[in-house]
Amino acid sequence: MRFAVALFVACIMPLSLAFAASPQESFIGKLGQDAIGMLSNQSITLDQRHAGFAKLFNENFDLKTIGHFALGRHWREASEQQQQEYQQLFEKMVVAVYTQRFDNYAGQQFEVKGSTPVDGAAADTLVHSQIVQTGGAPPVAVDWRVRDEGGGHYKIIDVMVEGVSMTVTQRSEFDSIVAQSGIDGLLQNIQQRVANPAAAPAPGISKQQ
Amino acid sequence: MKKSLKNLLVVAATLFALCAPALADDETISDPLEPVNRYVFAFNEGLDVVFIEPLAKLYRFVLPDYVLERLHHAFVNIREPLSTVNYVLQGNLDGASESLLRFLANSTIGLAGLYDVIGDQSEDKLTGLGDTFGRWGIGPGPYLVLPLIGPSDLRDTVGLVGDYYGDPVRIALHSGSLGVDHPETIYTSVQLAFGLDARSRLLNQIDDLRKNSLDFYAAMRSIYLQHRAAKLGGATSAPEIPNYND
Repeated sequence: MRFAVALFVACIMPLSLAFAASPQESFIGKLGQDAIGMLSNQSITLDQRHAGFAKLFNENFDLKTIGHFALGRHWREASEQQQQEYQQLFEKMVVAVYTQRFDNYAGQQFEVKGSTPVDGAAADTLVHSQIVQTGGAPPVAVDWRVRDEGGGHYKIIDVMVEGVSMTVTQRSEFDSIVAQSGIDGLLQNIQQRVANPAAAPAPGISKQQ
Repeated sequence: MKKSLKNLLVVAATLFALCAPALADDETISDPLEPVNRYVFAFNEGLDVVFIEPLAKLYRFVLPDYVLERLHHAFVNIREPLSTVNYVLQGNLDGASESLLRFLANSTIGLAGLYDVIGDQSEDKLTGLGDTFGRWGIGPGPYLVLPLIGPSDLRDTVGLVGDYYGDPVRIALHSGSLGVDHPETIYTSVQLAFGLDARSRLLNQIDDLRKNSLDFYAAMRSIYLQHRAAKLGGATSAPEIPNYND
């Protein structure tokens, strides 16, 4: 009898372990649920929804790391005052941009599809997810790079869409702007974007479908 | 004929000599023609906003999803023979046989490619001469923006020209064995329709990027180069992000 129980446990245990999501996957899954819950909550105003999303975003993204990385080698060229101003503006801009994206993704489904370690970064895990778009458009593969900050805390440090890193793209953009108009020019650019997050850089772009 | 082939090889060899090995760091992007590229990019933007994007929207929103899906499968299917050839050139015989099998099954049972019979068709599995050069170890070379076509690099531009002239579908159309008049017109039209289909599947993404990037040209350049590096370099494309909090 004891043997039978042991055998049973031995057979069931690996099975349940195989199905258990990693803590990083659970972290992303819960964040997705919280975000969707906020989107579908009809009892709060749009402003409250945006404030709630900004809070969720600030808590779960390591914006200090993302911002520092996005400025690249220009971080060292910037004065301490410029660094501080940059970080503040960067965080405001990213929250504004993602809030708008979040509004656009209303009604779409979000599924976590496993995770893989990141080569050469022991604390990082890439959590794979899929966003199923409405209106017959193909699903989008989105990978969330999650860093273990210790003590059971996780933070997102990069979002990869179809294998393209948003943080690297941002760094490349910032590098190009700094080359043209210096760090002050970049700060000015971000300031303008924060003041008017939905502005389209090119004229004549129609609204999101 | 022999002389022109030799000239072509010399030109190709010179072009490849310009293609330095691929560099992963975005701060070392090779874009010596940036002023010209930005000019062509602005031209393409104008063309897209005024003409291509509205056409792509019309295409996506007028036709039912079912019809769009059939057409998309057919467009991908017609690129399979070129992929088969390139998989062989890359030494990937599994890729080649799968691609060939897909083409044969989808073109017959799948009613001229309208249905994906085996169910494993994907745009990501298409490959061309640019990929083949990359697998042979040739770097991207300088970044280029091509009129109408958009972001590219020297390696992929040479690849595109090779793809055009070497496409078995185009060769078959020209051979006369299919009995079609105006083979060049037909082939070019299919290529343009393939482009429109691809554009119509990126409506949200491009609109989002246009609205949210501070320097759209630099963003597109980075995305193109990352995308190519990810396709040719496998899964290990995650950037090195240091821990700044220590």
